[in-house]
Amino acid sequence: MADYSKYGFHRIIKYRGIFDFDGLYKFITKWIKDNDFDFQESKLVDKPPYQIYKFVGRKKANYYAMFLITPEIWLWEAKSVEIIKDGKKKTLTEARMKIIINGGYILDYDGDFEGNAGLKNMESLFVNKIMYHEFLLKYFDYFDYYLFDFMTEVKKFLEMETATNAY
Amino acid sequence: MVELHHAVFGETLEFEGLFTVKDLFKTIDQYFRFKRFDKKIVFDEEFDTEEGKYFHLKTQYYKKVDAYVRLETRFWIYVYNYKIIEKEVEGEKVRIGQGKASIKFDAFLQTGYINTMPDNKPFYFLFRILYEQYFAKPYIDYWKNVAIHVTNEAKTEISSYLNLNKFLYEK
Repeated sequence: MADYSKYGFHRIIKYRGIFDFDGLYKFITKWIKDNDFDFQESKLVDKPPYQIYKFVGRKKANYYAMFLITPEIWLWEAKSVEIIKDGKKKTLTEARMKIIINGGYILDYDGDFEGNAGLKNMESLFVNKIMYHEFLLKYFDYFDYYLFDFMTEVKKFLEMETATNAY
Repeated sequence: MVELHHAVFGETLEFEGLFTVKDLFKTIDQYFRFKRFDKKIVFDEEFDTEEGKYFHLKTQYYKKVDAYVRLETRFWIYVYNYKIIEKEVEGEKVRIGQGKASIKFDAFLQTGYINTMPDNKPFYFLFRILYEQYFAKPYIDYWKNVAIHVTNEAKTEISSYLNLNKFLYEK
C-alpha cells in the first residue's frame, strides 16, 4: 500500500476574531459529506485554554486509489460572546483559531499487490515509472485543487478578505 | 535531489493607501492563471487588531515546464491596519479599503524535481553537476530569464493595480 499522505497537501488558515464556531463545525462536516467522503471525527480534545477537533474523510476514487482528507481545528482562549446582527441576538465565539487542511491519497488500499515481493516490485515499477505522470495529474493535481476549493469555501464561510481567487 | 537556481531573491514592494485586499489578490491570481501556473496557498492568516485587520498570506505559483524544470514564484503578502472606509468619488459614495501592504517575492527554478538522477550514487552526482554546469547551462539560463520576466510582469501588474507608476512616464 503506497501512502502519499505527506505529499505536499498541507495548508494552514489562521484567524483571530469573532466567528460562528458551531456553524463552521457544521459547514466542514457538511462539505466532507456532500463531497461523498466517509466522515469520521477522529479526535476531540477540550483542554483549556485550547480545543482540538480532528476529522477524517475517506473516499474511494476507484478500485486502486483512495483520497483522504484530514482537517483539524485548533482553538485557543475560546469564549462565547453575544452580538446583535441584523436586529437578532446571536451567540458567537471569540477565539484564536488555526485550521490545518491536510490530505493525501492511498494507492492499492485493498492490498492487492501486497501478496509477495514480485507483485510489490511490479506495482512499484508501474506507479513510479510507467504511470508516474498520469498518476501525478490524475490524483495529485486533482486532489490538490480539491483541497484548494475546500480551503476557499472555509475562508468564504469565515468572511475572510482572501476568500477570492482566479482559479 | 532537487536543485534550486535562484532567479529573483527577496524583492519587496511596499504601499500605503487605498486598495482592496480582495482585488489585490485577484490581480496576482489572474496574472498567474493567465500564464498557466498552478497555485498553492501555504499559509493564510487574518487577525482583527485595534488598528484594523492584519493579513499574512504565503502563496506559491509553480509551473512544470517539462519533466526536468519547474518554475516557482513565492509571495509573502502582509497587510497591516486594514480598514474599510467610505470615500466620495465623482459624487458617489464608494466603500474601499485602506491600509499598508508589503509584498515580498522571490523566484527560482527547480531542476530534477522528480528525482530522475538521485544523488546517492557518486556517478549521478558528478554527472548532474557536469550536466547542469556545462551541457544544460544555456537551457537553465533561459528558464531563469523566463522566471525573472514573469516576476517582473507580476510586479508591474501589482504596481498598476496600486497605481504606483503614476509619475513614471510624466515629464
